[in-house]
Amino acid sequence: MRKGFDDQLSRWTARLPFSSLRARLLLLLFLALLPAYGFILYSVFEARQQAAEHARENALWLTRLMASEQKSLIEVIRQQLQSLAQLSIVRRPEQAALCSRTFASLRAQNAFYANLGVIDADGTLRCSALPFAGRVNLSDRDFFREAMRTRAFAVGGYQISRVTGKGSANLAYPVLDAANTPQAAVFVALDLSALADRLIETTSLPEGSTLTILDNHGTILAHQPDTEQWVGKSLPDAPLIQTILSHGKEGIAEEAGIDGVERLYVFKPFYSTAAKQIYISAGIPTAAVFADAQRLLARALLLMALVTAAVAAVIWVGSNDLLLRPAATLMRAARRLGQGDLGVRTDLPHTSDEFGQIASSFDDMANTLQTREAEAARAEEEIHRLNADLERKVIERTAELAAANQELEAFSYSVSHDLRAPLRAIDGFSQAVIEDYADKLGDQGRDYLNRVRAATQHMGHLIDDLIKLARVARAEMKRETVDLSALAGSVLADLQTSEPARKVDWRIEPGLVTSGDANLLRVALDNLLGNAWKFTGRQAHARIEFGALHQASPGMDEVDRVGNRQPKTGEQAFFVRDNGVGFDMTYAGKLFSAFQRLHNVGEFPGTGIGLATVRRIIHRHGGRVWAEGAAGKGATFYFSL
Amino acid sequence: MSDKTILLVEDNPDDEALTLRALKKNNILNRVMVVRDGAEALDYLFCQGAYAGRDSSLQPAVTLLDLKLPKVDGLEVLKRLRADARTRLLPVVILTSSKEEQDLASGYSLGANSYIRKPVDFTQFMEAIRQVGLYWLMMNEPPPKK
Repeated sequence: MRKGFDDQLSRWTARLPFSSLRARLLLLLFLALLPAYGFILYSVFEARQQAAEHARENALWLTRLMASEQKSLIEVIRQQLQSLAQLSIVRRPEQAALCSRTFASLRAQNAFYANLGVIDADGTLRCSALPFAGRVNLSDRDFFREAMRTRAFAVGGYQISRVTGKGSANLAYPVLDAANTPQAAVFVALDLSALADRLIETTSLPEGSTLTILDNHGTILAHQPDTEQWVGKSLPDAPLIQTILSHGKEGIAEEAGIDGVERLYVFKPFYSTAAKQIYISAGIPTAAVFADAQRLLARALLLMALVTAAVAAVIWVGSNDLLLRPAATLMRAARRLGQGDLGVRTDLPHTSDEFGQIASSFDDMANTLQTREAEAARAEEEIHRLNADLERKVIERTAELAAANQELEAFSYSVSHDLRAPLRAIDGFSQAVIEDYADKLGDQGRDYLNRVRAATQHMGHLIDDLIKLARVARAEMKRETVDLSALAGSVLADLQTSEPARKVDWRIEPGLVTSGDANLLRVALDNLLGNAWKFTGRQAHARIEFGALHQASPGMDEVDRVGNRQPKTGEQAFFVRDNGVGFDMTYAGKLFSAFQRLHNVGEFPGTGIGLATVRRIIHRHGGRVWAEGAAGKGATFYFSL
Repeated sequence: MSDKTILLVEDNPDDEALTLRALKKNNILNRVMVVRDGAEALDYLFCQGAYAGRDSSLQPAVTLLDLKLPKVDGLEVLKRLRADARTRLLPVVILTSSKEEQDLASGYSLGANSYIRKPVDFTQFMEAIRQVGLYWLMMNEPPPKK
């Protein structure tokens, strides 16, 4: 598994454009620094979380602060209204004009008082900080009705003032007479926009923050910034408002606000009546919340990148001396060694580190190779020398052999030429004596001279046959396809021509083809068939057969006799069979030796060299020859090639 | 017929005597000129040396040439005869004891007209001489003289 990964890694790095050692080192560095980058990202994520948490707490705290401030503001207003309710300008309708003036100055002092006024029990506006025309009836206003009914401080819902035309929330306090009956109601219209403005001012919300005040119907009572755009809009379906309303109490949400901008929203109900609930919601931009974390991330990444670059530079420079140079040296040495320069050495110190060990091993290897090469060269030289020796010896021996052959040739020539001349003289002059001195010779004398002539002629045949035997021994072998059947036919036809009177029944198996020297095989068949012809001379029905056996028969094998060879299975043997005088198997062993004859010359003429010649020819073909026969029962001569 | 000369080149006196006997027995009575080595044969045929004064127009009708000769051997004699325009067409019959194939081959390739092996049997030798004489002295038309 691990190995597979390594393989894959090295395959992958090998495919990189910079697959050098240096590139691998840098890759390793990046791999090693990867956890650090991971840690940074994790830390920043943590910081973000913390920032979010912090922002949440902060906003919540702010919201609570605002809510409590609001509460105390409303309490202040209640007390102020309660105080106003005791004033004669409020209690006495005839002082309405003074009341309006007083209220106007009061409003001017307070930024978020949109209006102040007094409403009679029938709902008619009697006094107002803002000037009004004619008769204005406010009997339908919830704050008025509630204050009159409950005889206590009442808070109305948001409404668009019929006097100011602005969005406001109204608070009212009943004016009670001695009998505790409500005579009128004094009220304040709070300018929620101004209120929100003040809240934003008093709290330190970051840039881009929003503050929204809304009621439980989803109506926007105030919104900072852009109050005019939002006030009075009822958006119960906006996601943020749904979240706030469904929550019902204080909470936090990170989502898009009504303006579609993503912020961290914190909200809290800050004022409730039986029928109404008013919420305040602060939205802090996410970017602001995470700004620190982002800055941290950027700084850390920059720092890390600097560290990485620095380390990479150190590796880039350091690897040159520590790794690349020795590696390049080793590589050059290996390349030169590969090109056959066995004298190359790394020249690096054989230290105990890896490079030192590789260099040491490499130098050892080069030494070994050089030694082996030298040994091989020496051995080759030795072989060359021996070969040269051998060649010289072969040339010498060949020359010696050629000389010997030449001598033998000269000898044969001499024998052939010179031995015959005296014989011819003996024969010729014997004949001359017989012819010229017939009258002086008796019958016996003529008989002796005839014997001299017969012996001379026999000697001539002996010489001829010996020459033939010698020629067979030294003739060059030319192997070719030989049709033995045709050859045998030709030999027998010649014999028939030489003795036309003889009647011989000869049979030749057709299609016997072998590979051998045609001239030598002709001589062999000449001798074998000639013998058969000769030794059937006295048969009334002479029969000669030439054929082939496909399973060699051991028979009386002259080779077996000396124990050198066994007949081979499947060996093809040819044979010449006759029904002539045959021979006694007792003497079969002598058949193939030169000058050995089993019949005397008087019976059958011959020199005793023919079968020796046959044997020589067959042996030269790598074959063997043997014979079977019985006295008076014919003979069979076998030969294989 | 009697004006036709036979040149016998033969170093062995026995063979010379037997050849002359065979010619005589076969009633070949032409003049037989005997020379005993190759050099003498060349001298005779080219009318030089001891035979410088010989009439060069009287060349033998047939030359019986032994191969094994002193001084210049038979094949060399044949070669020189065939190389010279004067003797190029002279009938030459090799008469030798050798039956070596190489002798036969070189004899014929050097332009011998015939190759006869002297048999040991004198009866056969007689027959051979008879036929040679009959053929070359009686049957054969000699080449035109220059």
